[in-house]
Amino acid sequence: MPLHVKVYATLRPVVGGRSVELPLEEGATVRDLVDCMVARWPELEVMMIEDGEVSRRVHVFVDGRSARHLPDGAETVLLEGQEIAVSPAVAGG
Amino acid sequence: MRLDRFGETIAHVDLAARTWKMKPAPEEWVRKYVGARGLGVRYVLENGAGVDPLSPENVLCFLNGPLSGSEANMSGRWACVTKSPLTGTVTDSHQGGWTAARLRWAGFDGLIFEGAAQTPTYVLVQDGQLSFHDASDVWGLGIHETVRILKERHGGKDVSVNAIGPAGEKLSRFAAWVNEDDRAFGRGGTGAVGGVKKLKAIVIVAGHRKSEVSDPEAWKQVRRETLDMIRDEANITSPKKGGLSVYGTNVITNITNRIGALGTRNSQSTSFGERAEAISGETVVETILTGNPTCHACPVACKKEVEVKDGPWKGLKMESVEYEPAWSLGSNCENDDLGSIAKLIDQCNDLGLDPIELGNVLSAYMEATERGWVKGEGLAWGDAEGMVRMTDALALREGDGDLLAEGAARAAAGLGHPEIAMAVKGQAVPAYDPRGMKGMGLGYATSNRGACHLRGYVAAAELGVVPIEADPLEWKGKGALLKTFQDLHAFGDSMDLCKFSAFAEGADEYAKQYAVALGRAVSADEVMLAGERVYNLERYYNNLAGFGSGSDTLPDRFLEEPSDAGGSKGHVCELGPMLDEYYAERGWEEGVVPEAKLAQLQIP
Ligand code: SF4
Repeated sequence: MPLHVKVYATLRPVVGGRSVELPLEEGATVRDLVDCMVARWPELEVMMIEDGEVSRRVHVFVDGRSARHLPDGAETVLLEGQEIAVSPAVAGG
Repeated sequence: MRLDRFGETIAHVDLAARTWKMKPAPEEWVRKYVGARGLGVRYVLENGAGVDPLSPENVLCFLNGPLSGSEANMSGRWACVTKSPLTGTVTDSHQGGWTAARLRWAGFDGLIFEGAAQTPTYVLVQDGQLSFHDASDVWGLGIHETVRILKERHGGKDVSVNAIGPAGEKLSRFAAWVNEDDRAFGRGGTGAVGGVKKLKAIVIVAGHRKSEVSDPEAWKQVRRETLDMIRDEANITSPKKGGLSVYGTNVITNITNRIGALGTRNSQSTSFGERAEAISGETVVETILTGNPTCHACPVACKKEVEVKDGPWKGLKMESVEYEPAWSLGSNCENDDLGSIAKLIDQCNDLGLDPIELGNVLSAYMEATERGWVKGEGLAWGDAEGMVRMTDALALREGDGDLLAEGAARAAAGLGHPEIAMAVKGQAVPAYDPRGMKGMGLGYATSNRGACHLRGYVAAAELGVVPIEADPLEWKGKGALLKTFQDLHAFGDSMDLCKFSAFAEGADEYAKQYAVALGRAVSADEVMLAGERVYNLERYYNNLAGFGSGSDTLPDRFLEEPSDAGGSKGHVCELGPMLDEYYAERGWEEGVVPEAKLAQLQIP
């Protein structure tokens, strides 16, 4: 299933836009999404992966909830119709 | 400028008598309350908690901290501390830019204004001297014009002008002081205290600027270490790489919108949907950015200078489009016109108004209009040109602007519907909806200066950027978390370092910088204890001023009307249990500091 993903902040200049289409399989997880992005834009690895896990420096929001606060964390399965957004962990203001 | 002699050069200025005296701060106060915010609160307490904030008897303190104007990273800040005409609490507000540094370089650690001048006055500080000048030619002028005239008059170069605008002169309860044209002591209505005193401006001409410390090598070392930490914080503070540096504070609009914490239409909704993109930091950078100004000694450069490209305000050049006003004057008023937001912020900088309170008073007025509670035309959601017109009217107290100049809480009460003011202790809320970020809600309720995001920036944990991470929708544990942030910031504000330093540094780094600068060894625990002391001192003042049980609360909307959109959908803010946790952590009884706690912290 092609997944439509919004991207924010410093991810935008890397992916070259406000959103990306990712070719993910049915049943793909947050972790798969991160791996898919890193495969396509290897420079994202420093931000997105830490010690082999999804880094705490990045948020994958599934319907407005950061996956790290969802019960299955990085193993959360992505479903069609959900709003997915990826952002570096940032604050200020 | 010997950093270890901080506190010795504080000018006490009697505006009525047009005299001044240099008096060192009591050594014990500097040791206990550090400087800037903490020291200012101690002076305000000394003046009595019962004083009418809009009387000449209120004291207006402008104070540096021991690090202000030194070579320490992010140290270009000073505090304005007084009793707030908006809240009746003690209030402190902080400006960036170069004014703090220039004050230090002119030979002063602080300026404390007492009484009121008979006629409009400005003071000039230079070479350790202070003089009084007639301000009648700039009284009534906007801040931009005042700054231009006074800078030119006093040499132009290395001059800072900190001024009030027409809103301060007309005693708007949320009037601000603004320096460098666009850096404000925004919150609490400090500008109105200047208006009562007929003090239009403070002109500062810089002099000698090099800090002297007893161990210059250690000083260099600690600055190098903290600079490395700022550079290494790749997501946020790293110059030209981190989100705060590249997009400014407005980098988080899309995120808070997504999680359901971007209040919309006077917080009737928790998300601005797809329209948030139009007011986000990303859109600012992609469409209208012209520069990235910074403050004294700051490599982050988070300020965003813009030029409006089209529409009624085409050609307007201003700084800075920040997250708070993008929210307060944007989604909060259902306004997605970025050009008008830049215009409204610039109006605040020129008229001397707090943009957070302005956005809230306008959104309450818009809700009242929608519900048919306004006699006459009122103001429609998203009517950007109407907002600009009403802002001018408000600063000059014309028509309904006269009521709106009193701030959201008093304006809503005046319209017969206090429930539509999103305010705590009389001060309007900032840009994090408490239903979507519950720790921020607790922070608004317990802030010592009325609703505020900067007393304890729990957002850093709720947005997952510091090692102590917290789910924004969980209420448990927020009491202890908030206390930690409040105490750390109370110390940082007393040093006075930019709050954003806390994204890269912590109590250890604050302790090291303090120790080397002042030649007085302190531990991270002592830093946190000093912060706790400042926080309790403020609370003690507020207790004396009549705030106690029941004062720490939130508007019913956040407690009873569930979030309608974004990740927080269906949530309210569970303030009650969070407050219990928080009071237990603080050792307070229903918001009141007990005698035993005062004694333990050696207050006052
Ligand atoms: S981070 Fe921004 S506000 Fe803070 S000192 Fe630097 S430029 Fe100024």
